[in-house]
Order: sequence, then structure tokens, then C-alpha cells
Amino acid sequence: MMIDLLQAVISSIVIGSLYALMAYGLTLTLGSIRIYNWAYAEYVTISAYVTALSSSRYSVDILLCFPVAIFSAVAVSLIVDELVYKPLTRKGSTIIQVMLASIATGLLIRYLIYIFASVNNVVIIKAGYTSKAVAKINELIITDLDIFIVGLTIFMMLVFHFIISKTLIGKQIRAMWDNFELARLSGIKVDRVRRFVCILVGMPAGIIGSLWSIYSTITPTSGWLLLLPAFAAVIVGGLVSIPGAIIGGYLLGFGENFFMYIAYKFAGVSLAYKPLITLSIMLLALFIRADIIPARWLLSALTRAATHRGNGR
Amino acid sequence: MIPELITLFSTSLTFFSIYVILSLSLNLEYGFTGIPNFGKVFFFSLGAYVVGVFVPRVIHFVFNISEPACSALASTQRMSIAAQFPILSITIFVVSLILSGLLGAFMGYVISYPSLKLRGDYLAISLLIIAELSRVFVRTEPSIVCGNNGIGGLPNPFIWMQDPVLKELTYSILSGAIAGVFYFYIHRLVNSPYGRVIKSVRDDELVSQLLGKDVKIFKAQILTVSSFMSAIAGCLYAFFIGFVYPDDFIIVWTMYAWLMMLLGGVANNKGVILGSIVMVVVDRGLRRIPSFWLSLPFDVSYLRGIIFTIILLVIIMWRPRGLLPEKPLDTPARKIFETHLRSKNSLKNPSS
Amino acid sequence: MMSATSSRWRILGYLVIGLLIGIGVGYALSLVIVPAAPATVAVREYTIGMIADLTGEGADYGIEVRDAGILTVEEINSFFADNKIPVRLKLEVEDSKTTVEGAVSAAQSLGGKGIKIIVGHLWSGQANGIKSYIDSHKIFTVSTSSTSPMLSIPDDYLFRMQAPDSIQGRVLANLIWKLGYSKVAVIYRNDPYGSGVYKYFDEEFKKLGGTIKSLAYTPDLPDYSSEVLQLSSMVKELGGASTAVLIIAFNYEAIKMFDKARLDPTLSNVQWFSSESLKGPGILPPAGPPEVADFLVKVRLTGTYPASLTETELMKKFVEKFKARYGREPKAYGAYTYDALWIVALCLSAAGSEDPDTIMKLFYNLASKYTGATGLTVLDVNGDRALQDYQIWEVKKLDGTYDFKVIGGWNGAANELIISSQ
Repeated sequence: MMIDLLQAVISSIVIGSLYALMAYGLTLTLGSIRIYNWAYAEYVTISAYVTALSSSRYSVDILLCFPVAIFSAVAVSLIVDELVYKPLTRKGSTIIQVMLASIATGLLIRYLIYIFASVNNVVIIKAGYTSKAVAKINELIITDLDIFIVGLTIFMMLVFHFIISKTLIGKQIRAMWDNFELARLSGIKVDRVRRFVCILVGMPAGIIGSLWSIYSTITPTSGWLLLLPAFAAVIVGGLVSIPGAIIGGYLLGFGENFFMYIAYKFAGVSLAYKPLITLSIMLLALFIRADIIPARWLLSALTRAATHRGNGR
Repeated sequence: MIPELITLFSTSLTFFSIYVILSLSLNLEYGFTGIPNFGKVFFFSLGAYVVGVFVPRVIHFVFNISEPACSALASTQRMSIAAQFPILSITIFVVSLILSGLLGAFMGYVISYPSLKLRGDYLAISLLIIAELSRVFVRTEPSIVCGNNGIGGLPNPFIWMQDPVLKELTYSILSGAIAGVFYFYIHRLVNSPYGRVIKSVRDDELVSQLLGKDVKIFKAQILTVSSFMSAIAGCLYAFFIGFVYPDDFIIVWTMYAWLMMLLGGVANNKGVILGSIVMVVVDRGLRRIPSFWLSLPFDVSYLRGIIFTIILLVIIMWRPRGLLPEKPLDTPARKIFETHLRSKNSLKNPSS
Repeated sequence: MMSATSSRWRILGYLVIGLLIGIGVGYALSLVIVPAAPATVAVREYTIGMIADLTGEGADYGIEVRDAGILTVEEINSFFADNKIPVRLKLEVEDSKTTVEGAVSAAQSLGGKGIKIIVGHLWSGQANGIKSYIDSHKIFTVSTSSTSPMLSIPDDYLFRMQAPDSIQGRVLANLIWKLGYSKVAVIYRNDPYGSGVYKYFDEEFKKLGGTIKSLAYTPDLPDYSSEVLQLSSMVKELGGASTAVLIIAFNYEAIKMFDKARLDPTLSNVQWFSSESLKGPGILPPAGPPEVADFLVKVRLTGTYPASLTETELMKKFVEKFKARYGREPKAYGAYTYDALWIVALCLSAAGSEDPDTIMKLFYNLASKYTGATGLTVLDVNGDRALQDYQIWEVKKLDGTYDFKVIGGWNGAANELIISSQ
């Protein structure tokens, strides 16, 4: 039983890292450009397909697929922003209209992916690389993929942290985050920074998609299925706090794996309730943030060590 | 050929009515009062779930059926029993309508409390999550509508009619009538001082409060009414399809309602009618293209999805207020004012 | 002088009228443009509806059924033409999108076009969904799948070419027991199909004296690590050498589970069993990775598959024709479609009309005298296949390729299990 518990901890960390990275990208977009990017899911799906197809159909070395996938995700991110989000922001659309547009864009891209997948007969696909067990302690298995996922995601988060806190453009992003109008007035070229942010958040999407195509099988809805827990993590972070979102990501990873395992072992709870966990955490966090449940102190404690200020939103 | 045309008409009319009721309710919430309801499908599903929970249990109770309600055998039995007792089917239908409406209204009222505290986008996401949560919950919990399997054998109120074409036609006319009643009600509701108040809540909540309007109560009332309507739409839908299952109630329904409202014209009820017509025509029309004829390498259903999302995007980007503009309130006072204006003008220009 | 309001009304009016005209024109066009069959002396053309998953995750099976349908209808039409039988068939295909809602709207769409007979590949959830519609509209429906025992109902309009899983569940129980296992950890799909097979397996296996631990999984989740972990846990709890695993799943979920299970030492050291849903395209290479296939060979994945124990002549010809036309072998439900359509065609030519009640009775009678590609098609009182043989297959690697090898069978008529090589 102990072994199984530890195994659950491992999958919690692995999945949590993926959620955390995705939540990072979503929060960054939300904070600096003020866009709820529901189409982010499709950037992930596209990269997943790119990696899966290149590695299995065209036998490209798996490590080479990553840059290609990242490139496609970044490209899509820029295109969508130029075509949809930027014009809407310029027009002064309400945040609801932008949200609707992003959901619609996401759906449109997803349908296009469906068409592509069914024409080419790749509705379900997996990358041409299978993980190997790397460490074996008693019966506990850790695969090379597990290590790679956790390592890569944490590395990316550190890189982003460095970019945002130590570089000039990072400073500009932070300025835009705090007060958009003021940043613009003080001479920051917001369009340029905006494009940079799109490139910046496209990268984790590419990475997550590629990793996911190795970890699991890909269908056109793969991105969307990852989006919901990622959004839950974003909400736990109060929509503005990156550390909060990261913690949220791991919280969800643990909730789905570790917690569910314990619930099964000690209370016989059916695994069918797994999606309920994500959604309940999301709702709980939202209601606490909105002060419907007076537990603000809990979330503040979670997001304390913030590089970016989290309250007053 | 004629029965086919009639069936096409009845199906279109039924869906049209359901869409109209749904989008009218969304228009009331968002168009007139400014509450962004991204969880519309939740209230819609409530009506359908009431049918799935209530109808089989009642029939089993009255006729002492021993089969478990979820089995297909039981659903066949229910249908044949209902066909023999017309009064029963109609009574069950009416009671289900009332129960759905009550549940919807109650939920709308409950939701209004958090909706006050949550800002625009927060509210939108919360409602979306509530909708998803309820779907996952109903899907997993077998005692509501048999979990993921769903429940069938929900007899149409006109099941006793021998001719299925006539049955569908009658049902569609009934749905159309209900939609008409709602339209009339909403029209009167918003073209009145009450309508003016909720518009002011939409336009500037703070000012509205300063002027002494209790925003809390107005929002609660609006949400109660609109959720009542959505649940009734769900009830009509459940009886039409005859089968209720949770995976039917996904976000696409909410998107459809928003699309219809945005397309036709925000805060314009005639616009809602226009949006629903377009939706029904495109939806039903696209189904009738035989895939061989168009020789598409992929399936037509994807095409439908693409067309809808593109229309939605085009609307948001170029006509975010929709095709038909918002009209000033059509209150009795205005009519008097207009006639007065017209008579004044005719005095000035006797030739016109 | 026109006021602004009334000219707006006019515009609205024009729009509405324009739309109504559009509907009418569109409908008329759709009738005209699809070419009608060439008119010869009093030849009646009947439109048969077909519902299959052409999109979504079940598309592999649905597309095969549709392709088999097109092939069969052509064969029927040319046979009838050669023999001067004045009946022709036309196939009208609708996509059910691997969802219940898709099946329901497909059924409504076909019904709305006046179609009275449907041959479809519906899984149990979909068949359940369209039942009220086809019963109340009297549309005779033959499904090539949907094996849930829940759907065994007399006097309804749904017939099934495959036997309900009440039989398959029992066969699996006998198979596992006979091979020496008295404890089984079952993971099954939480839907009418999975729970159907599981229910009868559970009954029979317990009757034989075995012990079971089970886990129902939710379909359409992105990640199944926790389910596989729980399965491993269950196997450890059951413990011992006489434990096996039974998986009742569709292949797109199974492949995710296998990928996790192959790294689990407990799960790699027990024998696995499966229902018929995994035999088909989608698990073995080139669709799935070789590591998963190696795992399946290691755990000797063995399962049942409804098929006649003796390969009929018709089956051989059908497979050849399919291969010649489409460049691939029919793996799953094509042969059932073939049989269903042929029996329907014979009924139509005998009856001279498409009245569903007449056709239904004729179908029942004809089927009992018919031997198709899938063997004897005798139906029981519920309109479901009465005699069902099952192949027993095992995943094996021969000469570097992976395949499902037939290692035995279940004789439906004699209720007997035969294992030829073990």
C-alpha cells in the first residue's frame, strides 16, 4: 500500500507540473493583456499533434519535435492575437465579448483540427516514443518521462520567472500588468510587449502539448480536457497571481491522483467522481475570492510570496 | 412527400420555439440587465432533469411497475401505457412543466445571491463551472437519470395520437404557443418602467443604486424569471426527444443561445426571433445536404460547427450589438408622445 | 410618410419571407439534385437509413460499417438487376458522432425524411437513446452492435445482429475459470455496454465459485493513471497466482491504460482478458506503439469475439471484396452490416412494400433460415441473435508482426468451450 501511495504521489507531481505550467501561461495572458484565452487549449492540441505526427509518421527524433511544436504553438498564438484579440481590445470590447470571442475561436480551431484529423485518419494518435522505467525502488517505478516532464516544466517556470523579474521587457510586462494606461502613457510600446507575451506563452503550450502526446494519447479534445484543470488552478491563484496558479496546479494534480487514491482506499469513493474535484476546487476558490465564503485569509496565505501583487483586483 | 414536409415543419417549429425561449431569457438577463449568463445550459438542463426524474417515477408508482426505471424494458412499458391513457399523459406533461418552471425559478433565485458579489467575468466563469459541475454530477450519480446511460420512455403528451406526424405537429404548435406567450410577456415586461429600471442597472449599476433602486431585488427577480423560462424550454426539449441524458447538456447550448442573441440584436426581442430563425434554418438546412452530393472528404457536422463559430466571431468583431439595434421602450406613454410629435409635424408641414 | 418603426417592420418582414422561401427552395433542390435511380419498368427503390459514427473516437468502426454498407448495396442492386428483381436499395447515411445525441438527431433526421428501415452500427448507449423515437415512429431498426442485455425487449422495433452480452459475459466467466483463475480484478466502462457485460460476467463467475473486485471507469477522461493504480491495488489485494485481470473497454481508453499498466510490475505479471471491443484496428501496431503490443503479448491478452466458428464461404467472399475495394481488411462489424442489409433486401423483394411491421415479421422468419457471412442468423423472441458463437483470441507475436490469433471458440448451440492451443 505504501508503494501505491508513493506511486500516486509521483503521478500527482507529474500531472501537477503540467497543470501548473499551463496555468502559468493562462495567468500571464490574463494579467498582462487582460484576455481569458480559452483558445489556449487548442495551441496545446496543435503542438501535441505536431509532435505525435512528426515522431510517429515521419520518424523524426522526439527531441527534435519539441522545437517544431513550440514554433507552431507560438505561431498560432501570434496569429490568433493579431486577428482576434488585438482588434477587439483596440475596439474597446467588453471583457465578456472578448471571452465569447475566445471560446468561439477555440471551438473554430478545434473543428479545423477535427477535420484535419479525420481526413488524415489520425483522430487518435500517440507520439512515437515510449517511456522507459528509469528508477525502480522496491516496486515503485519512475520513468524517464516522469523526470523529463517535471524537470522541463520547472525549468520553464524558472526561465519565465527570470525573464519577468530580471529583464527590461519583463519589467514592461509587469508595468502593463499593474496599470495598462499608465504603462502606455509612460512610453512603453504596448504592441511590441504584447507580441512578446504571445510568444512567451506560446512556448509552454508547445511544451505541454509535446509532453502530453508522449504521456497519453491525443485526440482533438485533448487540449480542452487539460484546460479545465488549468483554469481551476488559475482561479485558485485569484486570476492574477502566478505563484497562486502554480500552487493551484499542483493542488489539482494531487487532488486528482493522491487524494482520490486515499478516498478510494479509506472510503471506497468511486473514481468516477474525479472530474468533480477539479470543478469543485474551482468553484470554491471563486467563491472565496468573491467573498461569498469568508475565507480570504486562506488564499492570501497561499499566494503570499508573490513577485506580482495579488490583491486589490 | 407531404408528411415529410410536415415533419420538417414540426421539427423546425419545435426547435425554433425552444431556441426562442432560451435566447429570450438570455436577452433578458444580459441584453436588458447586464448579467452575463455563461451557464445557461445549467438552467435548461434542470427542466429536462425534472422530466427524467419525475415522469418515470410517477408512471411506475401509479401502475405499479416492478421493473427498475432505468431499464429499456421499463421505458417500452411506459410508452405503451401512456399511449392508452391520454388524460394521464397530458396531466403528467402539465405537471412536469410546472415543476420544471418552479425548480428553474428557485435555482435562478439562489444563483442571484452570488451573482451580486461577483464581477462580470468572475460571474461568467462561475456560471460556466456550475453548469459543468452539474453535468458531471448527474452523470456520475445513478439515481437521477441513470447516470451516464440516461433515461428514456418519456411519453409525449400527444402519444395517444395514432399518426406520429400529427402528434409531432400538435406538439410543435403547443411549443410555438408557449414561446409566443413568453414573447408577449417579455415584451410587456421590458417595455415598461420596470424595463427602464433594469436597463439602468445594466448601464450603470452604481448610479442606479444611488437613485434608490434596490439592485439586489431586481437582479433576483430577473434571474428567477429567466431561469423559469430556461427550465420550461428544457422540459419541452426533453418531451420532444423522449430521452434525457447528462452529456447532452454541454457548453454548446450556451454558445447557441449567445449566438442567437448576438446575431439578432442585443436587447431587441425581435432580434432574438431573427437569430433563432437563422439558427434553425442553418442547423436544419445543413443536415439535409447528403454528404455524397457535396462529396466532402469529411463530415457535414464539422461544417456546421465551423459555420456557427465563424458567424459568432464575425458578429462579435463587427456588429457586437447584433443586426437589429436596441429600440427605445415601447411604453404607452411613448405612443402618446409619438402621436403628439406626428401631429405637431403635420401642423407645420400641411403637405406631408 | 413612413415612420422609422414601420420601415423596420418591412425589412423584418422581407427577411422572414426570404428565409422561408430559402427553406422551400433548398428543400426542393435537395430532392431534385440527388439523382434518382434510372427508371425502368416498375422498379421500386427503397431508401434504407444508416446511422454510424463517422466522426469522433468511434470513427474507425463507423467508417467500416458505412463502407461495408456501400459495398453491400451495390452488390445487392447488381444482383437484383441481373435477376430482373424490381427492387433497388439506396443508402442514406447519417453521422452519429460517437455520441448519444448524435444518434438521436441522426434517427430524427432519417425519420423526418420518411425512412422506414434503418441499419445501423449503434453502441448500446446510442441504441437506448433512439429507442423511444423508433418505437413511436415505427421505424424498423437493425443494429449490428449494441449488445447490452438491457435492450432485450420483445415486441419492439429494434433487432440486433449480435447476441446480447448476457451471453458474452457468461462465456468470459467460463473461459477465465476454465483456464484456472478463481480471482479476477475487473475494470469496465461505466456505460450500458460495460455494465452489461460486467453484470453477467459477475453472476456467472460467482456461480462458478470465483471472487471478483471491480472498478467502473468514466469514459472520455484525459488521464487514467489513478484508475490503473487502483487496478494494481486490487490485484495485490486479491493476491496469489490464480488472479487475472478483465478489461471491458473501448480501444481509445484501453490504449491509455495499457501504456500505464505496462510499467506496473504487478499488472505485468498477471494474465489479462478482454471482451470483443478490443479486437480490431487501433491497439496493435501500426496504430499503437510496439511497447504496448509487447505488454499485451507478455500478459497473454485473451478475449472473446462474436463470430461463427466455421468461416463461411460468404465471409471469405465478403472479406475479399472489401479488401479489393478499400485496400484494407474489414476487422470488426462490416460482416454484420453485410448480413443485415442482405436480409432486409430479401424481405423487401418478398414483401413488395416497406411497411415496418411486415418487414419486421419477414425479417424474423427469413433470418431463421439464413446463413450469412457471420453464420446462422437465427433470432430469438426479442429480435436479438439467438445462436452466437464466439472466437477466443490471444495477442501473439509471429515473425515480427502482432496479431489476434484464434486459439479456440465457444459453440453457441452446444454451450461448450473449446480451447485448441494453450
